[in-house]
Amino acid sequence: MRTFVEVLRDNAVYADHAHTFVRMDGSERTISFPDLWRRSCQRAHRLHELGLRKGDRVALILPEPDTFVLAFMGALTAGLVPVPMYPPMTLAKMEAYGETVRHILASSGARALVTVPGLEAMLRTHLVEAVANRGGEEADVRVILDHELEGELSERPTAPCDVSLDDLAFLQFTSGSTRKPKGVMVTHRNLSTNAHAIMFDGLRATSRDRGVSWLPLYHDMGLIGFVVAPLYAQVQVKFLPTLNFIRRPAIWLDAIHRFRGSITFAPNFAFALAARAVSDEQSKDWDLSCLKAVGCGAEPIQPATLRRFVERFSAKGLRPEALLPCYGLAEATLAVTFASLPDPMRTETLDAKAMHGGTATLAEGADGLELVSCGRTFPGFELAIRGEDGGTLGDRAVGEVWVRGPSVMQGYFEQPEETAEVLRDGWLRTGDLGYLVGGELFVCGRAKDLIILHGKNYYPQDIERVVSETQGIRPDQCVAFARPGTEGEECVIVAEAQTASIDPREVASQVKQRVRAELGLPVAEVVFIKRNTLPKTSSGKVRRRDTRARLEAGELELLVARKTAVPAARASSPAAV
Amino acid sequence: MSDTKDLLPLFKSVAERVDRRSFETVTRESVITDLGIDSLSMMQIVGEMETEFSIQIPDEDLVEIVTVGDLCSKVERRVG
Repeated sequence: MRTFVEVLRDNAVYADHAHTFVRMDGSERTISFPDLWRRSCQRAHRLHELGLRKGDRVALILPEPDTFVLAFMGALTAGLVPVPMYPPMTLAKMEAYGETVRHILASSGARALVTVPGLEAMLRTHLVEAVANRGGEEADVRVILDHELEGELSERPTAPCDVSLDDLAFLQFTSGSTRKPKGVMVTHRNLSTNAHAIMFDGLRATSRDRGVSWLPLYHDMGLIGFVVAPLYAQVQVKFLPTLNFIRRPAIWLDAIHRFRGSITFAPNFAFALAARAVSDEQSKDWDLSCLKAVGCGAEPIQPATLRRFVERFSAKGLRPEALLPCYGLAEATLAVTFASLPDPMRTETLDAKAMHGGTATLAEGADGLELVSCGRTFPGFELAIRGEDGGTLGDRAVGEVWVRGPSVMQGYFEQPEETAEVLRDGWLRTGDLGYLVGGELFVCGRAKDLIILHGKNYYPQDIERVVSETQGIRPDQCVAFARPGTEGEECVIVAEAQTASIDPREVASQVKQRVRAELGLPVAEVVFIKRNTLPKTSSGKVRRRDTRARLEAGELELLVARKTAVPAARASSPAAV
Repeated sequence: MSDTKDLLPLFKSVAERVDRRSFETVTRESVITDLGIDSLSMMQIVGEMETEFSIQIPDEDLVEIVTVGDLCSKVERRVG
């Protein structure tokens, strides 16, 4: 198996192949495969000239897709360990952004930071603090501006050093809201094996395929799924800036139509956004029959959302069997399972009561919880569902998803305790809940109660802390959890009121405002219950999943009647283990 | 303001659609970040208003937007 650097080198013979990058101002830049290799080598030599050596971490904060991809490839070719980081966005909470930047710079021990002139001053202030936290001095970390990496291109490019499959390739920091992100160590072997699994076992790609992606390049789905994996199959990609897609969702499908894209991926929310925000005028000329794989992953998949997307665009040639639900996580490099490529999306409707008991039994009628099959794992990988005691469970028993295989990470960078929590005998504990049926995986929740909205992770503890500080709520007597909503998941709070005489509308409004202001999270509903009735464990810890199950079953002692009852089919959900 | 359209009601309905919550009490003086609208939602709101009128607000104008009224004015000027 070749490393990504060898793939880049060997692809230099395909002069008629190129990646296309749309920049934020809408202009396009095309870089041929031979040029990708030439520019990677030139940047690699430049990074060595700047004093960086094999194994050194180099942070990348580059908002434009083309400069990011070239810097990333250059760093890998130089044997460095890139640390992709997200750029600040307009109106973003700069305080929270700064905290994340300082944390990642300090915990990755980055020796250099590559960025653009416009961000340099702001990033330097965070850098000083980050370096001090690690006990060093500012001079220890070099700030490199992207144009400093440019230089003369060689006609006979060579890499400055050897890179082998067991070398560390890069650090993927997992997203988190207020929790400290952890650096997932991805080796070249992890990358190559996952790229093979995605392109050949999952997508059965050939060099005639074309990818289109607006996914952020600092996260696994955009970075590995579109920057790394496609080159193993000589697949050309068109990259769009994420914010341009968010502002004008039509550019995604428009690019697929024009570029004749056959492969694209997105999280659930993007399908809802595209179905809602694309106008008939924008889509009138589209022919989407070129799409063979429309992957959906990275956040809980809602079958109704995907069906609405297909219904909206089937008249434009979108085939229902192109939908490809999948499952993965950064700790396994990226992909773990793919649905079968030629088959339409497969779902199961489950009996809610049985699910709460930890068994995935098919519902008798139409009412119940509908879950999507995320397909099977790849050759060379194994899946297991385990109970709380660590024992392996049989088909249709709900438990935690564990995975073993060549793409499982080496651990979290410089965090042996956190690593030991999730890696055991080569098995990775994913923290997700699911069940298997004849090898097909259905994911139904998260063991750690993590709430994922619009691709962002929120820890319930953080939300509960903010709710607790609100006037009218009994401190620490509340829980936060997610339930399926009409467009992705939504956040619900169940809280004990301070007194029975609170104004529920006023307190609920306060709670929503505070959570929104502090964490950026919309709260769909606040449910008030009577004092001392919040479900707890014997040691006094709140029981989120139990509270959620009881709310849905109508078993909580409500202080105030709920305004709108949630339809049973949407409300039901697995409680389990 | 006589011949320009007041876009506050449109802002409210777009924001409600994007953020799935009520913006009933919002005025033109409301500061957008105080409403808890984050940058991703803001981009969607701007984009939906642009699509509605087939207009485009230049990126450099976006940084000047602080209040709901600032955004409405930018759109109104291009529509009116």
